[in-house]
Amino acid sequence: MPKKGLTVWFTGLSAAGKTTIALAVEKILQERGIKVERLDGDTVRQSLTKDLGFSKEDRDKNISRVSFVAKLLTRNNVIVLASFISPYKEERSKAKETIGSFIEVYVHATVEECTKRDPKGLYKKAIAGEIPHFTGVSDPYEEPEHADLVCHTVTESEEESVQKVIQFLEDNNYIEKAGEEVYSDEEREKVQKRLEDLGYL
Amino acid sequence: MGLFGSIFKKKKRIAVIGLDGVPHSFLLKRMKDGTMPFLKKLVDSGGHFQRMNSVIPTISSVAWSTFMTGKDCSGHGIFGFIDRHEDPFKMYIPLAKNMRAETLWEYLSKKDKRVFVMNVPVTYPPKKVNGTLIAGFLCTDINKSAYPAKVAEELKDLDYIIDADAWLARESKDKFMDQLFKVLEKRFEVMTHFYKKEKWDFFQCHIMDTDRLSHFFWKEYESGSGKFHDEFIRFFKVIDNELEKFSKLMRKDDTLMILSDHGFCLAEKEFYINKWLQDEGYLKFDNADPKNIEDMSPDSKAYSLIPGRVFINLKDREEKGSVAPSDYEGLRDELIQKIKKIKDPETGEEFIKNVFKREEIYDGEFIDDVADLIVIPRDGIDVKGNVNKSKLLEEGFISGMHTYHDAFLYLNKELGDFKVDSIRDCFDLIINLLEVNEK
Repeated sequence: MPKKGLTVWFTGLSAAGKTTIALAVEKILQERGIKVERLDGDTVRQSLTKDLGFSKEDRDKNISRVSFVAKLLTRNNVIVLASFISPYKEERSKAKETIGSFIEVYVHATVEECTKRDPKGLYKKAIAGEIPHFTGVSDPYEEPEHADLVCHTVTESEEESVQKVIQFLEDNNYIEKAGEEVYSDEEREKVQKRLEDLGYL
Repeated sequence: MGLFGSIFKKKKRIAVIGLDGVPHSFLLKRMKDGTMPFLKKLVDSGGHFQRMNSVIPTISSVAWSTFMTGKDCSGHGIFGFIDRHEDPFKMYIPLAKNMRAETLWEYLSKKDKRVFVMNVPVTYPPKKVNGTLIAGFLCTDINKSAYPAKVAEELKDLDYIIDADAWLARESKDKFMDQLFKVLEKRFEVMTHFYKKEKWDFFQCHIMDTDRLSHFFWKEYESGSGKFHDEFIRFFKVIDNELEKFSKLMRKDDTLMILSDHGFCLAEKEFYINKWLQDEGYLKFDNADPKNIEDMSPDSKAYSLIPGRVFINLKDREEKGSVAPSDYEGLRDELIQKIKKIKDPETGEEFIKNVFKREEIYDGEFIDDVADLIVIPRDGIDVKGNVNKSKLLEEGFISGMHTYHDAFLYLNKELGDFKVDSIRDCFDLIINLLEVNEK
């Protein structure tokens, strides 16, 4: 169990690495036995907010519904990993206000780099004018000025970014430190022997 | 009103006694032959007594995790007494901190119920509850055994013993038997101490010692006579007597639940499946004297952890992965075919009852962490995970092994419409009885 519930809000351009980092963080937290849920722009838009488009109004509604779900989970001591482009400062502030226990992680990569990565071919289509309101191309992205954490995915490896997030959660007492081993070496040996004697290993 | 509203309107407290590994079929015999007259009286006087199924794999850590979460291993994440991180590839002992689902006592605590929990497997390190939790045998230091921590002082004052020393069984079976009685009597004494002292809505004490007795003395029990046979039977006389004393302390309208997590039978032979995987070329080691599966060579295609959990050494998943994802399904099918046909070299008998793909028996959220194949032998063949055996099968030192179909459940009430098929149903049964089933 986490020590307390929290929403980690990953914001940044499409293809900046939000989902990649969130997935890796999720795996680490699960392995540590911590309750974690991931809310992701792509999947949420196929269910919770599938009636919404990408106009400013619809984006606000999208974030508002997601924030409501994140609030409920956070309140129940779950760590929520929310990865949404969430380009407007105002909507991110509202999310923070709604959820309460909230940290903002800015997953930073330049538009040029994201265009180069473009795993879903969206930038190509947006530049060709096939996708309207595309953040970074035809719609603005308002950079966070006071993010709790910034992951520079152009200069950092995925592992470094993930470690940064985990370190932040540990340092701020949201989760136990990995180094806080349950057993001393002697105790580990003892319990291992106990299990061996019982034929359990 | 809860499911049991009309029947159990006033029954808001439950005391649970776990008798680890005590078979339903064994208790039927002991009630008949007069060894357990009190249990017979309980059952005859209108209580509910039934056989129930355990879990797959049939191990106490998995079974009690299922009891305490209402989920199978793919839902709570405890798959055995040993598990592996795929990358970096490393063995670890799953503990309470690895439990990925909410436990019964955490749930009840949230519902403002006070709980007392003692000695249940996979409760170490002890987590915060609304009440008291004393961890089970994976705790090696009594000072760290309880929540709140100050309870440890009380345990020390009472000379509490966390577990019997299984090594003693190899040194001297007489000494081990004596110690088992001592630990059992102390367990009931300490349980009674806290029962009288604590305020609780849910009380649970776990008797691990029945499992220890059966592992090391089942053969002697089945022999039907002799010193250890008689001591085995006497162990259950003591339990019957303690249950009687305990029930006298209970309030008239309290619910009493007694259950086991699996049955027991004679372990005729141990089957070393890693030896078979090695012989067939699926498992390789770089050194001649491997200590455990961590020493596996990256050329390996499959390996196994006790009991019968077979993992494909899958590329992009395992640190030493060698099997391409496109070959995964084919390899699983190939292994299933071959494993089902393994024969005992001495008798020519095929002894594997079934081999399941994980998705055939599990559907939980953590199914990706379950073994790729689950091997189920017939009762009597105990699948082990050793890596340094020269024979495929041989008789082991431990003479009792777990069975799936023969756990039991006793309740001092009728169940009404509620059906219990396996230990997994006990979570819902308890929250219904306590009328806190509205999640």
